[in-house]
Amino acid sequence: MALAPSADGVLTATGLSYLAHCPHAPLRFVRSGFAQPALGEAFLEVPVIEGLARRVYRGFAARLREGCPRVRGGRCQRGCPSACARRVYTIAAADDEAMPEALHAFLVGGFDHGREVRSLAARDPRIAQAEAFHTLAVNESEKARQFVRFSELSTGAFFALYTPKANVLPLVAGHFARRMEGERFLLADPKHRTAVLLSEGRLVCGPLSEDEVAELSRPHELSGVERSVRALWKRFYDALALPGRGKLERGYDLRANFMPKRIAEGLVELDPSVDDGWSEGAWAEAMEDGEAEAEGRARKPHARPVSREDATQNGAPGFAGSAVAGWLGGAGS
Amino acid sequence: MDTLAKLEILADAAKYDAACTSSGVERGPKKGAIGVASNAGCCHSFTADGRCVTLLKVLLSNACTHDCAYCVNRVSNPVPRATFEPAELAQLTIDFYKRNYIEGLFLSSGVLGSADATSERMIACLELLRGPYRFGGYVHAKVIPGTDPELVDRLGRLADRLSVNVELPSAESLERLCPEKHAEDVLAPMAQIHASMHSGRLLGTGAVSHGTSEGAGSVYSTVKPDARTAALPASGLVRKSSARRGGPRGEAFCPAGQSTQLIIGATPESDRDILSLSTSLYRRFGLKRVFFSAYMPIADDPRLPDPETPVPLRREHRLYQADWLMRFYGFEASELVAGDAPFLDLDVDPKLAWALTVPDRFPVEVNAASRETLLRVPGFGPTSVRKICRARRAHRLTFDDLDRLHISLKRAGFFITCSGARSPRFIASPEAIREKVVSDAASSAYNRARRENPRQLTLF
Repeated sequence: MALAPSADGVLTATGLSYLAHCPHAPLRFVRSGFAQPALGEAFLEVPVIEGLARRVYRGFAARLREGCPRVRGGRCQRGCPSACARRVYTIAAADDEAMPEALHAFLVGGFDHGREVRSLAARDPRIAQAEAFHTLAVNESEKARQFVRFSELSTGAFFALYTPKANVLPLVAGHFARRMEGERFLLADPKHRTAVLLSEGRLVCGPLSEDEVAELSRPHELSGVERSVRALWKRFYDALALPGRGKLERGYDLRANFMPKRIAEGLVELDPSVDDGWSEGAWAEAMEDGEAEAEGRARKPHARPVSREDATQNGAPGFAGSAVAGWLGGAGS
Repeated sequence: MDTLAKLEILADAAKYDAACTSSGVERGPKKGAIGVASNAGCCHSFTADGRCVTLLKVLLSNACTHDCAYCVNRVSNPVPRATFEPAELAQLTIDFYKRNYIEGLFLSSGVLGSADATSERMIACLELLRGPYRFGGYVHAKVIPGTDPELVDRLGRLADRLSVNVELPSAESLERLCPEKHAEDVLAPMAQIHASMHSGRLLGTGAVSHGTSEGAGSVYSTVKPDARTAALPASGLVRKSSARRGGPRGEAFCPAGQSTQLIIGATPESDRDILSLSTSLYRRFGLKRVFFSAYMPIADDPRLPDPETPVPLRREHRLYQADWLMRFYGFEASELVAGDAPFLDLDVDPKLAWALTVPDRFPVEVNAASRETLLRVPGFGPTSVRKICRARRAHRLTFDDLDRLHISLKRAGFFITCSGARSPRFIASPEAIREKVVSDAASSAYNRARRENPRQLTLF
């Protein structure tokens, strides 16, 4: 089956194969567009059917709940550390071409063995791979929580571009929404063409079109205080380093272990240009200008919020059609 | 002096404090407020020396009137002095938080005349942050020894975590190096914080500490352990996340508990003394963490080690490993520094060092051993043990299965059997195991670089 490389795509295909009474063993799940049939094989293109995907997910979650000692009143507990059924989404965040097949094996194993599905990892390499994809997504989610760096735009909204190794922005969207309650922000992943937008308390998460990615990747007008705050952060960060414990004394670079190069390149604190030319007077002047600008902005009405309806009306397959450009540009003018 | 210059001075002055965690409390968003706190915490950056940056760690002021020999902020040290205005620091915290640079504020201070006057200023800053700025993120506040109990109480209702630094591992050392500090000034606020947290628990708010039973997951596990290594405390105080929740405006006292710091290598105390002291602190005051800070020679003082003395980084590392083993793996201090050796072995990790002293307890069979026994196998951590316990429910495990589960046998291979079979790495003699581990470590990139390049000169 050739399908969209998403949780809903695999859930839909699994549901269809079940409804068609098709045995799972001979089936092969591949990403649509990457399908290369073997001899005697034929691919069926499977569109996402949201209702069916939801139904399969609910059935899967119910099966995993059976016999679970953590379940109370037939329901999984909020914040349960195992979060068995939600693994469907973390596994699906992996970019790997083998993801649909691994997730399919995890789903089938879950329906067959209930919550013991993970115990099969030692013998079933596809379930072991699903576990590895889950671990990758969890690690990448943590890195996103750690290393996303927002910049304040001239509109007063916050903006960040971040490129993780798996499509994890939807997994961390809630975290940033809780953290930034009452603020407006746009967090975009140009590689996976996904964006998260919080505006007036409404959180929207969806795909971006190529044009939107290009629009978001160009430089944006920053607020007056942004450069000053970055300089403060860089100065603070540099002051924290302790002598006698560095790379030379340890024999290896401990920082590089925690902040790989792909991440370090986007960090304000590691950008030497951030702290350039900040004499005492220049810094104070920039802060005063920025604060005056912020006071003026506080009287301006907020830009029109982007809703889920906007996202669907204004231009599939884009995230929100012109909404992203409007959010950046409209709010900025 | 502008904020940029002040920040540079006051961050530099605060960097010797090892504590920089934002864990231990769960707090959701509130309408009109900014910031949350999460149980696991979050590291937002790492310094050049590899330490995590999770909080805006600064002093409110470094204009200290004390003259502690080991401290960079001592009154006799001619360094630039600065003091933050409360509003300045509150705004800085908010600006950094919104950009996802930090999880919150770590506020400490030099002693501005008296402990009470300093604490009043710290409270003013935190009240501003929690009040008009409506900040719901994490706050760690340092309690100045000798502070009035009422002020400690106010501080504890504004901060998520409090810490009182013991600093030196014995009362004699404290008296010798810090003439203005007394052991009872340090221990009294710790006892008060512990008592207030305890009464908070009885009322259903505040931090969840441990009971009094022995073993991992109980005595030392003020933080919820990854592995359930022992029975829950006999008192029945279960670790429920709901009991940890506390609001930022005084609903709970110090919901993330308290911690302390010990300086390693400035005074002659042994590792056994240090681990015994930390055990006692965990038990008496229900501490969440005891941090160890390797002493960095910063003063030419006859009471302190020579300024050329290398920073005891590896000793600090071994102490952290031992502390972790005591809190999460069920070890006692007496097992880790046993017999006539009062210091931890610097060449091998404390768990391996322990395993080599008890060869009769190994090998263990992975298909039959209890979770607690597996956790004592060198090279196995809670994640490996969880994977083994889960997988062996489905079938008997072989070494190939462990390989598929990505469980490293580099060390564990010496100490386990799988379905009765020995690992290909098995060596019977403890001496030979130690020799092999030390030689493997010596050939690692870490030690190779240290050996080849102990103090490489740089151009210019």
